[in-house]
Amino acid sequence: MMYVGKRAGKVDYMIYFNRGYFYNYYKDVLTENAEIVYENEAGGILKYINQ
Amino acid sequence: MGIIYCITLIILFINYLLIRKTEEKIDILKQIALGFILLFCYNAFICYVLTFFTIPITLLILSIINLVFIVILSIYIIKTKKIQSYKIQKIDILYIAILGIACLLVAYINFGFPFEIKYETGDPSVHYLTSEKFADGNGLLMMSHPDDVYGVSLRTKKILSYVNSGLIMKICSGNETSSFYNYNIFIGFAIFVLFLTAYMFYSTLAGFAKNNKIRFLAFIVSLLYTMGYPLNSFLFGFEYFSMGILILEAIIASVDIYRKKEITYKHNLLVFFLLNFGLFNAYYMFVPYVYSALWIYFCYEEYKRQNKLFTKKTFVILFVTLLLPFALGYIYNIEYSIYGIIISRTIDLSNLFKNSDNLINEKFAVEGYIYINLFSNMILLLPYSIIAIWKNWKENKAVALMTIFNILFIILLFIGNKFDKVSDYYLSKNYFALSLFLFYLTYKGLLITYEKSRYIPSICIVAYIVILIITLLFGNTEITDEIKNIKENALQVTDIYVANKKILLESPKDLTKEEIEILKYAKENISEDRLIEVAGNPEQGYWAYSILQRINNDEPKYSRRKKVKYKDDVCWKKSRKSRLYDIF
Repeated sequence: MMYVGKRAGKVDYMIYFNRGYFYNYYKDVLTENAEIVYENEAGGILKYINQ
Repeated sequence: MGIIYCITLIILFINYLLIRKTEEKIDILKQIALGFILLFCYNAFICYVLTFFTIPITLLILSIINLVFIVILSIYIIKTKKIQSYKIQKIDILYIAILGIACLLVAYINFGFPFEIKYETGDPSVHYLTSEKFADGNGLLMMSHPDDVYGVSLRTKKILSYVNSGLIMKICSGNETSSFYNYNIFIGFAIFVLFLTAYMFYSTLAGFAKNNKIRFLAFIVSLLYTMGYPLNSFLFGFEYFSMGILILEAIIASVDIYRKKEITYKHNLLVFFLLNFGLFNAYYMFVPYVYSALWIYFCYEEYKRQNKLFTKKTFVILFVTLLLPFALGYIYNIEYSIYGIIISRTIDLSNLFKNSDNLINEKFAVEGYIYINLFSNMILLLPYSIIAIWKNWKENKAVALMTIFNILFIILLFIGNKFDKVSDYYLSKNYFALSLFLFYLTYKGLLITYEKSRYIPSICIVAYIVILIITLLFGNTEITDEIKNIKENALQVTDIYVANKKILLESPKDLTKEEIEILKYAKENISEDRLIEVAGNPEQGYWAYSILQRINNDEPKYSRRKKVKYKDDVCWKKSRKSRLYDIF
C-alpha cells in the first residue's frame, strides 16, 4: 500500500482532494474510522476518531 | 509600520530619479524600469549586510536605513541645486501598456482571478515557502538546516527573489487570515516581474529607435521575446530565475548607458555593483559569461578612453563592479561558512572550497524538469545577430561578448552532459539567457538592414510572425518521457511558443479555488499541534503543506507513485533522472 494509505488513522486529519489519485484509489482505507468535518465539491477534511 | 516602510521606499525611488546623472535629458521610462530593478538589488544587498552583522531584518530597521539614504541623497540634490531632466515619448507609454495587458492576459489564462495555483513544476511551492519564512523571520535563511524542506536546505535558495516577495508579505502581514492569502502576493509579484521583463526590454530597444516605425519594431520584438523564454520561466515557476533574466536585461541597458556616457562615472559604479550583486544572488550560473564579458568590455573601453590599460580608474571599475559583487555572492551562495563566521561565531574553514568542489562535480549533474530545446528556437535569430556583431561591433561588443561566451559555456556544458557531469536541466537553463542576447542582437541587426532597405526588416518580422501563427494554430510540440528520444528538428523554429501555449491551455491546475477553500478551513480550524496529511496529487500536496506551513518531509515517499494519465495522454518533455516526482 502506498505511503498515504498507511498514514490513515495515524494522523489527526486527512485533507483529501477529489481530483487526487490517492484519494480515489484508497478511499475505503482513508475514510475508515473517520468523520467528515468539512466538505465541498473539490474535496474535504477527514477527522480520525478512536485514536 | 508597513505603510511607513512603503513611504520611505517611494521617497527613495523619487530621489533616485531626481539625482542628476547627466547634463543631457534622458528617457524617464527606461530609468523607472531600471529603478525598480535596482531597488530589488538594493533590498537584497541591505538584507545581506544586516544578516551578516546579525542585525534583525524588520520593517523599522529597513525604514531607518532608507531614511538615511533619503537624507544623503536629498542633501546632495540640495547642494548641487540641480535635478535630472527627462524626456518621454508618449508612444512608449502606449506600447508599454500593451505589453502590460499582454502579460496580464497570459497571467489570467494561467491563474484565473481570483488566483488559483497553477505552475508546471512543484518547485514554486518551496520558493513560496521560502518567501513566507523570510517574511515571518528576522534574517536571510542563512542558518536554515540541511533538511529543512524535502531534504534541501533553504540556505541554498536565491535571495534576490525571496527577499523582495517576502518584504511585500512583511508589509501586508496582519493576522493569520491575511497571511493565508500570501500566495496571491507570490503570484502577483511573479506577474509584475514578467511585465517588468517586457518593459525593460522594450525600453532598451526603443532607445535605438529614430522614428516611430522603428519604435513599432522594438515593440513587436519585445512582445515576441517576452512570450517566449521569459513566459516559459514564468509558467514553470522559476521566479528566482526570472529575476536573473530581468537583471541581465538591466545590465544590457546599463552597458549601453555606460557606452554613451549618459551618466556619471560614480553612478555607473553604483549601478553595476548593484546589478552584478543582484545577478549573483538571483542565478549565479549566468555569472561566468556575463562577468567575463563585462571584464573584457570595461578593460577595452577604459583603455580606449584613457589610452592606458592599467590605471587606477580601471582598477576601481573592475573591483567595484565585478570583483566585489563576485566575492560577496561567492561567500553567501557557495562558501557560506565564510559568510556565517559572525552569525555562528565560529571560524571553521576545514571544509573551505569543498562546496565549490561539490558544485562543479555534483550539483550540476542534478536533474530537474525544464523545457528543452537545443537549437531550433535560435535558428531564425542567428542571421541578424551575426549581422549586428559583424557590421556594428563597436556598438554591440558587450552583448556580443556575452553571447559568444554564453555559447562557449553551453558547448562546455553540453560536453559535460555527454559525460553525465551536467544534467539536461542545467544545460537548458542557459538557453534562456541566449534567447535574450539573440533577440537583442537580432533587433540591432534589423536596424542595420533598415538603413539600407526599409522593407527587408518588415518582411522578416512579418515572415516570423506568419510562421509563429501557423505553428500556434497547427503545430504540436513533441512531449516525451524519454529525453534521449527527443526528435528536435530545424523546422521547429517557434517551438517555445507552442510549448507555452500547450502549458497555458492544457496543464491542469495545482489547486483550484474550491481546493484552496478546504485549506483555508484547515488553517482556521485545525490547531497547529494536530497532525495533518494530504491525500492528493504531489503538486497539491506540496502546495497544501506550503500554504499551511506544515512541511511534511515524508511527502516525497508517496510522491514516487505510478504515473497517472491526464488529458490526451500526454507526458511532458522532461528529464527523468533522480527527480522527486514524475510528471503526469
